[in-house]
Amino acid sequence: MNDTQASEPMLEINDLHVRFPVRRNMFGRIAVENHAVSGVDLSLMPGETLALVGESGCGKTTLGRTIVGAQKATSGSVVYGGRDLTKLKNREKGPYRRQIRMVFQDPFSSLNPRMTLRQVIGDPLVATGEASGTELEDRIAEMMRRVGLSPDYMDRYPHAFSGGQRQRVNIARALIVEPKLVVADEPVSALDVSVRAQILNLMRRLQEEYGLTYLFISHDLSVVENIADRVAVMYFGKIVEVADTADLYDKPAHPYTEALMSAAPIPNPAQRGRKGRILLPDELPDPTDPPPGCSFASRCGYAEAGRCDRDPVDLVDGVRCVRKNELDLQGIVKADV
Amino acid sequence: MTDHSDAPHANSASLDSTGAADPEADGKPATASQRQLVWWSFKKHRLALVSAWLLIGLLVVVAFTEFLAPYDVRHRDSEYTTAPPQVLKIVDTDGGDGWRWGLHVDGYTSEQDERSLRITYETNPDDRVEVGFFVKGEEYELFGFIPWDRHLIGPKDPEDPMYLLGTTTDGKDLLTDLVYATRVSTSVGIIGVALAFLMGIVLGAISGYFGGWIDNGIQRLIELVMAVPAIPLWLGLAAALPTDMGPVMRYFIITTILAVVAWTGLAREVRGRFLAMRSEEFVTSARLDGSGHGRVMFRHMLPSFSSHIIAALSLSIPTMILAETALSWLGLGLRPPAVSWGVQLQEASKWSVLSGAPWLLIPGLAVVIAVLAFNFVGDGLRDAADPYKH
Amino acid sequence: MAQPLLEISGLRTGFETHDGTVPAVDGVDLTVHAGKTLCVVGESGCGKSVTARSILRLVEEPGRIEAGTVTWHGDDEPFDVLSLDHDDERLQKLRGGDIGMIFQEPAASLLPLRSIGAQLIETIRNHTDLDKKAARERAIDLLQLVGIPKPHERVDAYPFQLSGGMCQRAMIAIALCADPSLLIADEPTTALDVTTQARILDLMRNLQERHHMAVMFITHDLGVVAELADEVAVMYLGRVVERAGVEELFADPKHPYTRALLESVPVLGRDRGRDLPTVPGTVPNPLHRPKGCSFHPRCRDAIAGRCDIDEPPEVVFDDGRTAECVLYDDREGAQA
Repeated sequence: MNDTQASEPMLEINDLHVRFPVRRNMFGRIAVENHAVSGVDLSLMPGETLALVGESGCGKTTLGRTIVGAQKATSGSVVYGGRDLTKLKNREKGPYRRQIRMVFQDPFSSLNPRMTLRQVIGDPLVATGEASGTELEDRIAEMMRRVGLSPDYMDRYPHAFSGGQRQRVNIARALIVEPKLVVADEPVSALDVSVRAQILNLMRRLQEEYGLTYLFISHDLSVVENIADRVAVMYFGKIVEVADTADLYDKPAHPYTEALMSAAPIPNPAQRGRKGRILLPDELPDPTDPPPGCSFASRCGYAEAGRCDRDPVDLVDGVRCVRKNELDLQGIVKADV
Repeated sequence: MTDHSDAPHANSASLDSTGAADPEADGKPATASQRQLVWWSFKKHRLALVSAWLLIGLLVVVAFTEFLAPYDVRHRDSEYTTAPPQVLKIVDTDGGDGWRWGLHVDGYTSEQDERSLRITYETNPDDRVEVGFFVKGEEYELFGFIPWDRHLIGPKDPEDPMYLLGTTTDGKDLLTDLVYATRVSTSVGIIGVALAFLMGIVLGAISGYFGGWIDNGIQRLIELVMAVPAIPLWLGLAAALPTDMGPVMRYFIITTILAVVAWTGLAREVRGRFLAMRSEEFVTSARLDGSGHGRVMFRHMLPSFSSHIIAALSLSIPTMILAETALSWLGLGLRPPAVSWGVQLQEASKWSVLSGAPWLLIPGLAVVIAVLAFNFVGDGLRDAADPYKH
Repeated sequence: MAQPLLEISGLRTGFETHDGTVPAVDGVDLTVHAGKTLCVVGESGCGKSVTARSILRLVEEPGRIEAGTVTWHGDDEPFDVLSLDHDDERLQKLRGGDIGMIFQEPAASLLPLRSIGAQLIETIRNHTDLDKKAARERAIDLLQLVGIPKPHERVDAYPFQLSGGMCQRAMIAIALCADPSLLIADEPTTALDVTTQARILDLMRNLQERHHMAVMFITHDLGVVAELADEVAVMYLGRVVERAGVEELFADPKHPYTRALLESVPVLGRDRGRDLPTVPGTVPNPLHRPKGCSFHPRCRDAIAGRCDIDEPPEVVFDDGRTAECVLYDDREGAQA
């Protein structure tokens, strides 16, 4: 699973931009835009779990939705199997929709309250006319068993199920067409804490059974550390750091990664009030008018005025910081538990 | 608060720990379906429940019109014009020879005013008209194909007068007219609303789902239709109909005219819901499942607010009924020999007639009851439509 | 031990549904000590929020407080909050006065069409006799206190002009208006990002030290508990299943539920890439509470024939901590 160096990437994102119109002028032209994703380069290796970490509004969900085709890209490319997914015509999308699937964050709003589990899980097969009758039923039942749901519940409605069970339904629906890549957008953050581990373990098990590649979007650093092989940290529409999980957590190279690590609460009261905790100021730059230099400069404790806030900075060796060779940053404080 | 908040809400997961494939995922979900939840909620609305029974009664009248009406709609009794309502009695104490049991009504005596020469009728306790259930009367075809001659109630001797709600100025039985008018007026409401809904749902759904210039176009069209004042538009369209048109044709055209004016409000409501729902994750996942736009709109989105649609439906029927009544009352809608509540009330519009025959206003009562019943049921459904909101 | 400030005893709050009454809070005893932080931790449906709302009698229909007492020791004479009349002065003085409250969704708790300053000033004037000008000065001071930059400008801002973290700070400022001796915080950082959460927690710690305020902090996040609590109460399905000092709880969790929670939540640096121990099943619907110990269907240590039949006893340990579990029933120093 971790043997990623040898093989070719299965998905390559090149200089991807996604902008949302915020206001239009009187001629219907876009006057103000929100830069949700602004220049992302990222590749996914087959069989790996790449986590996309960042805080709300950083563009990680938009990036995920663009990959599955639920969001149009403004420019750039998402290359999968030799094709640029952003340039596909509607009728060409079918096979790619099967190979790249999405699991949504909210197990409540992602299931249609008026459809039974049979209808929800079987929908991808019914919509494309791939299976019907007993074949359809068998495949749904098999899929339900795989995700740990009893097929007896096939004709129940989603409202009867708990968050964890609904998330199993979502996973079943994503996997029933045997995809290659699953984009999971915060799949456990809406769940009860005692249920999260079940879903994380389930996702890990299914990854092995089906040989899946995951793009795991989350804001929860401990969940990400548990499931990811590699981590990409996103800030303000850009990837600021990509590295193997162990490297990133033990030796972050971007000040924002360091700040995130330091902010995460540690379930050990003995380590309370530890030294060197970084408290970031709240001020964020205006997403409709991004600063020319590093977008983190305004909050960064290491920023040098006249340098960081002015010069554009590229992602070099997985780090987007002009001072990356000058800084010695702290990794996570390991919990003594 | 969010759905998965701390406070308990009805019908969230009900879980014991038996019977699942994976011991980690076990739990037995609750069984109540959406429909049951709506019904439970609806039941609490007492007025709506009573109104629902009234509406069922109304539908029975629509279905069994010929059987429920004592006479044929063409029945005309020139002997008894503008006769007052009779009271249905089961025991006769006036006859002198003790109590005589048996369903009957009093017959009529007539009196001619010497100056105006107008004949007035009064019920006469001495004249007994035997009344029975399932009596033989004029022949008809139930549902249009079952020949039969029984009527729910009628005089045992077909020659005897039995006019429970009185007669009209031209000697027609008001009850018979009312039963037939109920069929016509209710069905104009229902068919008109159905047509309006078809237009409203399709255009509203397309408008809300696609958005952009399609939405813009449809919205401008709706505004255009809405900007034209409804009453002059009806009047204009109805007045343009040739006068020699058959009653059936006229019925359908009037219904269509009403629907053309009424669809806009519905289209807006449906559009609003689609617009709000378009960004819901289950809609996105339906698209990602490979469903086409039509399937997403009508298989995934529309059913999730079908209760709201039914509520809106039953709230629009009264408007339609009132519109038909108003048009016909003005003489521009349906015309005799067709009967509708509006046609019936037309007769009651002259004071000279009304002062002598106040029972001609009974169809007005029917309008009020029907309109209120549809409104209450609509209200109840609207409140019940969202069983999860509590 | 510090003085008790608020004592909840035998609290029961139920919600009327058409399937019957849901016992959201089913006999809860809790004590908040003056100047200390009590963290109430639990998952959805455990009744932690309802408990908090019951204290100030803010439970909304169809919820109803059915039994119990909430004794307030903050005044010279202790009194039971639940037995006060609705228009009792003491109740008004508690709400937003002696007891401040902040909620999970700051944006939903602030009035959208009134400036932060106007909402602050109104609360200040409700609880003090300051005039308008003095109240505004105080509002600006409070905004400064909770770490809102440029409070002179922000005092006239509307909620939508502020970020989530800023809104939560403004909420805290409103809760602090009348110098409360108890702050009840219902998941105040759940909707916030980690970096913002770290700052809000830091702020709450500072405020507490400076004002010697007691805090009742409701959360589902054990990491937050470890960062903030003096004492912890673990709730499950409407009951407090374990009560302990924060260090004892994390070092030696007694109740199987607490233990399972601590194991199953991934911890930074501990669980990299490994399968996590899980708590089987899901949180049951409070309406269909399992018989006996409500945790027994998910419990690894459940004893058949006992846990599924008898209500578990509350075992009090030598150091004052408690656990509702038969496992400790026969232990030395325990009294059933």
